[in-house]
Amino acid sequence: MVFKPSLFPTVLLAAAMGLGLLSAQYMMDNATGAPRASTEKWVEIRTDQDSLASTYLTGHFLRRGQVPPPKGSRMFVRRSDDDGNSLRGDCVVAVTGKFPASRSWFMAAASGAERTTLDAAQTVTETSGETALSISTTPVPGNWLIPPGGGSYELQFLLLGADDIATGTALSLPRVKRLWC
Amino acid sequence: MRRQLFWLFTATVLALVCHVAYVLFVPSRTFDSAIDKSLGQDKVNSFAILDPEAQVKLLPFTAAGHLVGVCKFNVAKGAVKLTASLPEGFWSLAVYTIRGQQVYAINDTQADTNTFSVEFSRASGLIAQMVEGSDDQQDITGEDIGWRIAVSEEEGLAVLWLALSDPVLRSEAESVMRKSRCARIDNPA
Repeated sequence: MVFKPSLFPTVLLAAAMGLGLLSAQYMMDNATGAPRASTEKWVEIRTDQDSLASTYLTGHFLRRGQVPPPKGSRMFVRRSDDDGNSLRGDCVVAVTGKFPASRSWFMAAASGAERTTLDAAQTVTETSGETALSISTTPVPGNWLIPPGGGSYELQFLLLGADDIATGTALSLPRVKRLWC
Repeated sequence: MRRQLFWLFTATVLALVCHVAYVLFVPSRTFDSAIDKSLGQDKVNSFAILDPEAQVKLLPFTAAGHLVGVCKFNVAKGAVKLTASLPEGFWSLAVYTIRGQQVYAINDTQADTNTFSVEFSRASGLIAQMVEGSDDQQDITGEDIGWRIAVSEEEGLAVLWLALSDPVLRSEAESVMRKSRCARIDNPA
């Protein structure tokens, strides 16, 4: 007797396996809560909670061979400015505001594996307590962050030593405005 | 019809199993090999300071001017002790299991010292805990300010991260951090 698999279950099971794997990849890729709609602003990423969502969030970092942000830090991401324009490397973008109280902070413009960074130690803060920085491909006076290439990018903002800021507290995060393209 | 329903049900279960298996095992394997790649020859139960390039790859939220030292520990054959030496400034220690779960974190203000030790050991199982009593998570001894961390998995990663106020201070800070050690307790380095 020769075993002859029928086509329907074979295709169905193969498709199910693919669907299971692809859905896992998709959910981890999109688990950061990064804004999809251009109207959304800073979105917080939290990996230190015991929840199902946290498993995917942690997987998001691990799958890229990266350590998740440590406890005591608060991480925010955004892909658009305050007016809903996507962040693009060929535009000059101003990031301004009184940054929340923390031991230090760190900002990165990331596009895929490419990323450029700026941290508190490399930045001059005004006497009023406000910090202003420009994201531009060409040099600009003051605090300057170079975007990673000419395409769209994600802005990441990490507050370090922010243990005293309770989770869920509305933070005054920096404003982001496109100046010109 | 019943045959088709059976295959549909089987396919759904298979999709779920594949999904869960991927989420549970693939990221941690990738993470593990990324750590090994970053550490090079210094792998398990030893302390290493990452070069800026490897550091930014492994910890993308750090600036190249920051200083990061790591210890990938394995407690399968006994407890591992990390003796940390850090300069003045803002630092943090975060301990992860190899699955990326954060089991412990402390920073300079919480520790109130720049020299301390942390002992990693395997957490007792539920039955062992019931027999032996509760498992101490922290144990401060008289001679040495130390913490004892019971980890639910054999392997993990301790990350010492120093946010330098000026990148010029890196070499000085690195010389202090180089005094840190990570080794099995019965076979200290």
